[in-house]
Amino acid sequence: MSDQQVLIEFDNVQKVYPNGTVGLKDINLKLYKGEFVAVVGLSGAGKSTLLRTINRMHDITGGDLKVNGQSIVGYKGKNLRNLRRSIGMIFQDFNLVNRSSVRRNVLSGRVGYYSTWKSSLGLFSAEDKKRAVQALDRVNMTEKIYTRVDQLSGGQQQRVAIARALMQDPQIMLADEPIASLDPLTTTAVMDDLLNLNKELGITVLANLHSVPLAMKYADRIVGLRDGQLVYDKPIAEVKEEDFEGIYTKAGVEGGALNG
Amino acid sequence: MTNKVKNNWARHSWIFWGILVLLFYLWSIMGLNFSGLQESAGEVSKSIVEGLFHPDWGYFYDGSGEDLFSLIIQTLAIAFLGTFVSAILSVPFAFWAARAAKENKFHLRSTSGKFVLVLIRTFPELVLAIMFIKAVGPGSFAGVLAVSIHSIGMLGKLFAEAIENMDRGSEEAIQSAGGNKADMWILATMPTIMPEFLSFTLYRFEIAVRSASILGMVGAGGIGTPLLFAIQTRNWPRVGIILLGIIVMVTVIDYISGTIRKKLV
Amino acid sequence: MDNDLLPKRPFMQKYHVKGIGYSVLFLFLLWGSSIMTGVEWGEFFTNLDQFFDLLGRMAHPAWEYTNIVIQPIAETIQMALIGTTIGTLIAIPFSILAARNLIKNSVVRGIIRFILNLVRTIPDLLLAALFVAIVGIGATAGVWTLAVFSFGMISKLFYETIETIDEEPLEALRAAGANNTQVVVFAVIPQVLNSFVSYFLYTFEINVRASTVLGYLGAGGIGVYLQRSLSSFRYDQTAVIVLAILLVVIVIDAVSNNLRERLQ
Repeated sequence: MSDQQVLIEFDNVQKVYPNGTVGLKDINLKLYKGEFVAVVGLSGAGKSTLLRTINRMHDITGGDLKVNGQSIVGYKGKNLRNLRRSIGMIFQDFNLVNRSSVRRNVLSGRVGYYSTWKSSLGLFSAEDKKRAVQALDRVNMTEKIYTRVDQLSGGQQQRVAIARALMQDPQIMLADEPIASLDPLTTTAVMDDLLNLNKELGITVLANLHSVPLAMKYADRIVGLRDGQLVYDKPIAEVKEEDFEGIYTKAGVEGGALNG
Repeated sequence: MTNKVKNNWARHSWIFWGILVLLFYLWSIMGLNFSGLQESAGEVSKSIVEGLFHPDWGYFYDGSGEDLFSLIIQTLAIAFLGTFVSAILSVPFAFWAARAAKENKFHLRSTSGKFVLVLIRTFPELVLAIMFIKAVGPGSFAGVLAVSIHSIGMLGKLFAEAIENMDRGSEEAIQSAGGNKADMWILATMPTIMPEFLSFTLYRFEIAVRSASILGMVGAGGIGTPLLFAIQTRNWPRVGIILLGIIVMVTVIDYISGTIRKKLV
Repeated sequence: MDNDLLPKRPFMQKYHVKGIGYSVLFLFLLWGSSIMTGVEWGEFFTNLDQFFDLLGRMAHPAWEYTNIVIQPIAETIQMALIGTTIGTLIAIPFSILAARNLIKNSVVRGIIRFILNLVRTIPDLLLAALFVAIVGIGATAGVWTLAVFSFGMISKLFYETIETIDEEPLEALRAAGANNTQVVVFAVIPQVLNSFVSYFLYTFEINVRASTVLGYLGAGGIGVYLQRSLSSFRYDQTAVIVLAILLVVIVIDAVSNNLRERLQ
């Protein structure tokens, strides 16, 4: 694996919230270009925090974090904007504007490429309008382009959210519990979409998942967090289901996962 | 020991509350000077009811601009324009008063904003109307100004609550795509919150229609002026037709506004 | 080529016919309203000095007037309490008759609801003017005004509450052979009592606010003094009255809110 290009590098990353809660502790982790990595762990283990440090939605309080070999910790203004637009993100609750059309939502993903006055007046270029159609086509949602988001099912909404993230032309896709609000059938559709982005467009995917079986089905590599610490990191070929007892039960501190 | 005291208190506290309420009522009844009914009360009531059943239809429209129809329209215009101005003015007040994070009960900015809104809400609208009459003279413009300012108290509060309860997810999404504060505001906050703002504004419009119909009693335009005049001159058929006019106006506006609000949310 | 992927939009949607139509209608209404009300913002801003002169005079309250204000303020609260109580007592039978789950006869319900809707459309000051004409100047007119006003409001709140109650206890009692009165006493009242008290307090709050201005038309309370000070241009006295109203309303709201929270 060392011959692959390192895309994201956590170097002894710490995150303590203003109220004293420890979010992340001593994280050392390298993510390679083109990987599909699943992050597993209990809720509150720091999975969301881990994802959000990469696009600086959360600032880290110690250590260093590099994307493409550059430290992003001190990024401000234009640098931060460029970093964020190169990283797509999808969320558990989709985070779409429910009362706007699918088209408007998808176009808003392009916001990082426009000045505020242009994006606010809806002055998106013809090229980007075409790009929106293509993005929707990739998730099989073109026929819903003029529909209002609140008339779509949960699975359809998540696919619109993926299309919105695609508008950013991202190098990395962060998926924060993308299927936690979905039923099993739509879960498969959304996960397949993510896998397609990974395999066909070469986008690096980092997804928080609750379900270990799903992680094993889709990911190239599984990373486990517990209480803000990295407790597991294995390529899929070496992963065994029993490993996760340590991550999913508080009592299993000495379990196999830690020693593995 | 304390437990027993507590138990006793819990069991018998209703006696304390009962006596308190009783005293409050006694104080009220003793304090009020019930003048008793005037001798003419029955007669006047009869005339009012008669007037209501024999309204002065001639007043409905006579082309003078001082008839019921014109003044009802003017009343609606006062309410409409006043509510519109108020809705715009309420937005900055709402952001002033809205709490950013749920956990802080006290916050200097939001608490002071909420307090200002309480003051505006409690300041009597009639007094406001009289103050504006001093500034711009009697007439409907003073009514518009009174509605504009007074409504901020309620709209600002409702807007602030809507902001506090809104789903912040879409803002996060815009930010994570590289948007700045202004982008978040225009692409996420506004479209999320607009329907609620509109719905509250319509609701406030329903109330404004009622108050605009009485602001005329102090000279601030609308149907209130001829109504008070008709009551004072005991012109009951005239009172009857105006009362009918107000009832129909309020009912129709409530219906239309209610229908639109149902569609919005 | 990408356009082939897209569904066809109907004409109305493609050119935003509805949105543009509503916007035009809205602008037309705004324009019409401005004409109707003779709005002149220029006039407002040129006369702003008069407005501020008035505010300036109000900024120096005549504190010695405070003693005179206390009694009418008390009267205002008394009017509100008695008015709300009378209104509530009348509202209870009406709300039972208007509740869908208690009265199956839709004609009775329809008539009752129609009356309630009519009552609710009448603004409070209009009622005050009418009652002053009927019973004469004084607090009695105020009490009747508030009674009718709160009757309209409370009836609606009450029947909506009754309609949300749990039906099973009612059925159980009916099955046991209870008549309608017994059903109301043993199954309805225990379920709605807390909400009723809470709504009573809420209406009381609103009536305290309303009663402060009723006196403007002669219906008793602090409003009488408000009118007197305004018509004699004693804005320093007006300021004291407004402050007293603010204080009373805020205190009553706080107490009532506290009690309502306890009831839940």
